[in-house]
Amino acid sequence: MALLEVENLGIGFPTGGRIVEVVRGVSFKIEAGESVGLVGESGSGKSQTALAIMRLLREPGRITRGAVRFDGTDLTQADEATMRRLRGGAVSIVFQDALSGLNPVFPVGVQLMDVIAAHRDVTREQARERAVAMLNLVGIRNAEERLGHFPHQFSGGMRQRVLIAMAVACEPKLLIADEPTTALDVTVQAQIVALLRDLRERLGLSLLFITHNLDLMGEICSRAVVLYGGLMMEDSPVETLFTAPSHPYSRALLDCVPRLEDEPGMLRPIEGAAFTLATAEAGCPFAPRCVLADARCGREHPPETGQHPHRIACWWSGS
Amino acid sequence: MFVILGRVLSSLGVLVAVSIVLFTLVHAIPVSPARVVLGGDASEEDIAEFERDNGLDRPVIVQYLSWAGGVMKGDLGRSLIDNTVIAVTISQTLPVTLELVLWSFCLALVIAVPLGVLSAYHEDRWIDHLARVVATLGVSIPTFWLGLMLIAWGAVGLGWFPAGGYVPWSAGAKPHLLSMTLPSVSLGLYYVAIISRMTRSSVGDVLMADHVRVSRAMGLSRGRILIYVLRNALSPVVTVAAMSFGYMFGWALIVEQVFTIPGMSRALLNAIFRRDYLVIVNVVLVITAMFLVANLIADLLYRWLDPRTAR
Amino acid sequence: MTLSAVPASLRLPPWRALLLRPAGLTGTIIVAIVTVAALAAPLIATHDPIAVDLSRKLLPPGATHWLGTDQTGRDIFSRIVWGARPSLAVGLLAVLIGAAGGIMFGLTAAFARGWWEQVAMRIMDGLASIPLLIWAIAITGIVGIGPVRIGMWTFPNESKLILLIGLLYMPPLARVTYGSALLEVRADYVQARRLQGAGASAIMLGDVLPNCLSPVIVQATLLIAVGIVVEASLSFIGLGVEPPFPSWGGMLADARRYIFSGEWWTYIFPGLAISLTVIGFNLLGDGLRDILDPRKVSGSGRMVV
Ligand SMILES: Nc1ncnc2c1ncn2[C@@H]1O[C@H](COP(=O)(O)OP(=O)(O)OP(=O)(O)O)[C@@H](O)[C@H]1O
Ligand SMILES: [Mg+2]
Repeated sequence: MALLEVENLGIGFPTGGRIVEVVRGVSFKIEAGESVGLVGESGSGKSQTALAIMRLLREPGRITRGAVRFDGTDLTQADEATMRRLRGGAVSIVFQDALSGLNPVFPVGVQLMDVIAAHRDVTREQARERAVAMLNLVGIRNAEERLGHFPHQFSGGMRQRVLIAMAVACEPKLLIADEPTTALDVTVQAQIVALLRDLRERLGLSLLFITHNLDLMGEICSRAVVLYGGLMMEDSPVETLFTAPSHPYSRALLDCVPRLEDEPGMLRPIEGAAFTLATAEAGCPFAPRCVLADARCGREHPPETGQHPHRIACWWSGS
Repeated sequence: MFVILGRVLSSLGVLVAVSIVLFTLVHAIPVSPARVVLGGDASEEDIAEFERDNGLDRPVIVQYLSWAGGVMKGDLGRSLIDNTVIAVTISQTLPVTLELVLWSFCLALVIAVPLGVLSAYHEDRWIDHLARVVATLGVSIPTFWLGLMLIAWGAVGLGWFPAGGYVPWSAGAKPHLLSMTLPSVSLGLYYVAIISRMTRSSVGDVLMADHVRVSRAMGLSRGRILIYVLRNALSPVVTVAAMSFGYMFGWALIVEQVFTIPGMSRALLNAIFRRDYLVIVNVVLVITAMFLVANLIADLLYRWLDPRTAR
Repeated sequence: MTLSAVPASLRLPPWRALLLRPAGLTGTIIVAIVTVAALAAPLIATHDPIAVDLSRKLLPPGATHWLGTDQTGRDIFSRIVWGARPSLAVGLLAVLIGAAGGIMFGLTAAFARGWWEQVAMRIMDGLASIPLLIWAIAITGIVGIGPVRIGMWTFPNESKLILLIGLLYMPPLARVTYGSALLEVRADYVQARRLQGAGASAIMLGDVLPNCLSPVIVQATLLIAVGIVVEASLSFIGLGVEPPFPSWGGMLADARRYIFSGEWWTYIFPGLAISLTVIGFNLLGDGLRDILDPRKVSGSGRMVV
């Protein structure tokens, strides 16, 4: 049994009297200790998927169908108390907004210790020791002293380190990192990715790494799930994806990976208008921009073919 | 530290400016206070004598300085009309007004803050709509009419509360508190409206903040998250509350009239109708000083609550 | 970005959007009724509002006196209709003074920057640290109750109130003007107009001012409500409109003692008149804010008095 099984997950927002699904039946698995990337253009539904796993969708968004099985329990059915125990405990998350992710009016030490105390039966002293250990672990020096500092006394990269320390403080089995480096500048990005890779090995956690940046993903993930328009396009080992992408969208994505002269790691735009859900139809969402597309692609969504660890949703994948 | 000193000094500056304006106004009136005191048919000699006796023939600046010098020593001067010591009048009436304001203030906070928090947590649910109705009524119904209606309902109708008057503590806690209830409610409702709306908008803003989502994602309990949210939302609420405290002194004068409470308003209105200038000036200055202190506290609390400016 | 469709009301012209919301509609209707009452008081009133007739005193509401009569037999309905005049006069004129001054200070401060910006905003801070109600009481007290004569003109007692309240309204209006004018001044089109050689005052009044009026209008509407309450309160304690001229606050002062003897119409109707009028302006202000400045929570960001 996999650590996390997302099965046919749908996420909808009530809009003008009906529910518009922004994620429309996505499935993937993460094995214990595995590191999976979730990639796709802006708006493809990556963050909503991550929030749905944690059951943190913002009102009025809700899970419309499917299941999220973590260690065998279906989180879509779990009650709030169970979710509260899991969040920050067995499943944890790091968001992209490092600058605003810490509460500005509490010292970071208090925030860290509160997370530890929420999940562990510890005394203040023990919570404090653990907090110091965690700050050391994520590479913050003078941890003792830093505990008393407020978020505004930390740089952006340091704040993200604190947030990561919070996320892993209770030794989660699964860490979701939603674009943890987008708010940071390039040199800091590399450090944070190195930190995550290091933590993954030391703490033995599974990772769901959400990103735009295929280079960063390649550095840290062994498998990638490619999302487009709220649907899974391809789920493939990273090597296969990089060397022989099967789905036309994956190919387009890789073609867009910059040449040397570009800014490192950034995607270049794919030809054609980006997908919008407002105009979503029954067919493959990528069909309007796809070089291979024919009438059937625009009409009917392709079924998934292939077996884990390599699945593809494309009418043309067999041929 | 310097910031605090600066704020204290500027408040003092405003107070001095205000006293100068008041003094100038008094002396810009073409009618001499002596004429007012002695009546229309007093002879020129009588008036000149009265002015000489009371030092009113000196230049305004000299009068101001001698009065200001007295204030430094706690001597606010004497009424021109009945020669009572103004400091005594104020020390007898200010505590009553202060008590009324304090009760109303506590009442307003106790109702407004939970109401604001609940309506922010339950945006667009019934409690939010209720809070909005309360707020609209609260800012719209004039304090004095609310007072009259409360008398009609609680005193005349139900007979639970006295219709007015001030029962001192010495006459027993229960009668005293009963006599303060209706006045405090009528003075407090407007500020329930103001403070609850501010709480609602401040808490609402914080609830949308990224760090609250992080707290939820880290599995903190609801209670802990509430504390996180409140501590963040506090600054604007505290500011408005402290300022409200200052403004309450103004409306307290009106409420005292409705409920015939012997606070500052009786002293002030008596002085106004008798045109007892020095009493007016002093009472207004005392109330303005209360207001400035409230503002000063608001400002200092704001700084102190924000870790970026604290210490 | 988000999928949520633009609410239908946002695409309509502002006045339509206002009338489509219950709050905005109610506010508009109330304000319209009160304004008509004030303007057409002689036509609407059924009786002379100051004619004393002791034989008809304290009559309950009935066919001839719709809302009853007061202790000297005056018709309460007619007095309420006429009483709309001083209320609206104080509310509107004070806001006009406040808006004129506030816009001038706010706009020039945003434009001039430098020392004038500092001085103007300091003056506004100073004015803002004066408690409105106490000073309204103090000024009437010092200057004396009674009409003001300047040359051949006589102004009623409440003109002192109008001036003072207008003065104290300047800071909040200056601040909203200043805030939005600062954003406008930095905008590209202002730079473009400068390059075209347009004069500072032409840009200021012709381009910038129209673009930052909406928050001023919202704030001004809410301040009218404040002015009406202050006028009524001062008239109630005898420092506002002088008897026998009808004012809502003055009527309530007369009616106080009937709370104990049960002539409820004497104190219910004038109080309702004030409260409904003030609710009307508050709803209108909140409605305008929802349309013109939708980010704000309605009811917050009022000037406290
Ligand atoms: N509150 C909402 N109401 C309606 N639609 C929403 C709402 N929040 C998000 N969406 C839609 O959900 C879709 C998926 O959003 P999501 O944030 O998951 O994208 P993403 O893949 O994380 O993009 P990015 O790379 O920009 O973070 C988007 O089309 C977005 O417009
Ligand atoms: Mg995202």
